[in-house]
Amino acid sequence: MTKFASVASRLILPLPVCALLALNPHTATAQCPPWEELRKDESVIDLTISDPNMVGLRMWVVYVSLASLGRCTLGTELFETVTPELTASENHHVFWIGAEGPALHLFRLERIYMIQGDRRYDVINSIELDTPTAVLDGMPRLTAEALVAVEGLVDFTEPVTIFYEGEMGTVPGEYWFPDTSSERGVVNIGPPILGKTSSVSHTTPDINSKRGCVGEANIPPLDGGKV
Amino acid sequence: MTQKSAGPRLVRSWVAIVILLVAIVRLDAWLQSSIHGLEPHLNQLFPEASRFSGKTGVPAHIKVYTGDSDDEQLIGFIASTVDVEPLERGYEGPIEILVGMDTAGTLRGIRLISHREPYGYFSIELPEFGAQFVGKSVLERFRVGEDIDGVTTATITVSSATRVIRKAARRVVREYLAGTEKNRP
Repeated sequence: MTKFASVASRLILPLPVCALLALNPHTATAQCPPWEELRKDESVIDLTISDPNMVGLRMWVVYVSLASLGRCTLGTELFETVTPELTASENHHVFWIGAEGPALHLFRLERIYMIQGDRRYDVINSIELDTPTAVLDGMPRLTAEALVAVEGLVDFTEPVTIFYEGEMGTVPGEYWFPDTSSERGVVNIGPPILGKTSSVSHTTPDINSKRGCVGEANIPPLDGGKV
Repeated sequence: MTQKSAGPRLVRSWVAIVILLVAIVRLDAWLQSSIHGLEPHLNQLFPEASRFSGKTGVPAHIKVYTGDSDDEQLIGFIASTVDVEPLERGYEGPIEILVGMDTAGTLRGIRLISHREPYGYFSIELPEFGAQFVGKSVLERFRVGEDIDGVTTATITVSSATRVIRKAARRVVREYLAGTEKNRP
């Protein structure tokens, strides 16, 4: 497993899911864009802790509650494995986080939180993943991966600011959600619902470019800044 | 009987009026106190202004007027980033910036009020950082490296300042436009 020792005690993951995660199925759909395209599109953002001489810790963040992004990031099988086993709730939002850098010992999942307007969202649950788990083509070599969940109503037409509260200071990153017309809220981490055994079927929409989507969507004028 | 009770009722009415007037005067004084010390910054953002309101509304902002009291016109708004986006922060804490904009959503400029950023002195404190916001529409991207020059390598501080400026400006203009829409006949 990874070095997320500090959060190990917080894991609420049923044994069958752990076993399935260990199998680590690596199959993404053919529609998945490569890492660089998602970077350019800002579906992947980074939070980087550095000093002038070196990068200490770089964390990559992807919103995987959106089925298309979730499948591409985690692989279809893992995405579908995680989905039905874990509690589904519209207001849970799950991010995949991949970390790299020599200062990995600084990384604590509970130090991540996000804000939108006057609302703050803390991590309510997290899962450590084996590395490598993410299957995006061209992604950097990572030393740790995890899923974190936050809870609360989110306005998907507005960005959220994701913070990593480090020992020296806070590193923020702004995340604009991809096209909201696709599925959302299907990947959730939390205590399993007793008796919930049926699997959930998902379609995998294409990942639309944020720049492309904005022009097509009927977004109020003041949201135009994300184009 | 009716005539006897008219006196106390009149007194009560006068007392109520006086209390109301005092409340209005005190409310105005309280609103004005909310911008105490900011006047030089406000005047730099809107030199033509005849009056600045106190901080008012949700999100809190200052209204800017020209003309005399008989023919006063609203010409813009000034918002403090810490009032509008209280949870936002840079590397070391909140970055307090006054953002001035006209009623069409064009920025008149920004004034840095306070921050604790370690490299703020050679990034967001530089005049060239603030100068690039003058004349920008709230519809623009406000992205460092694209339409905003990073000025230095203090990217977290510059990005955070840019982000809060954009958010504050958009929220205030959006509220104003929503109010205008509501009041349209």
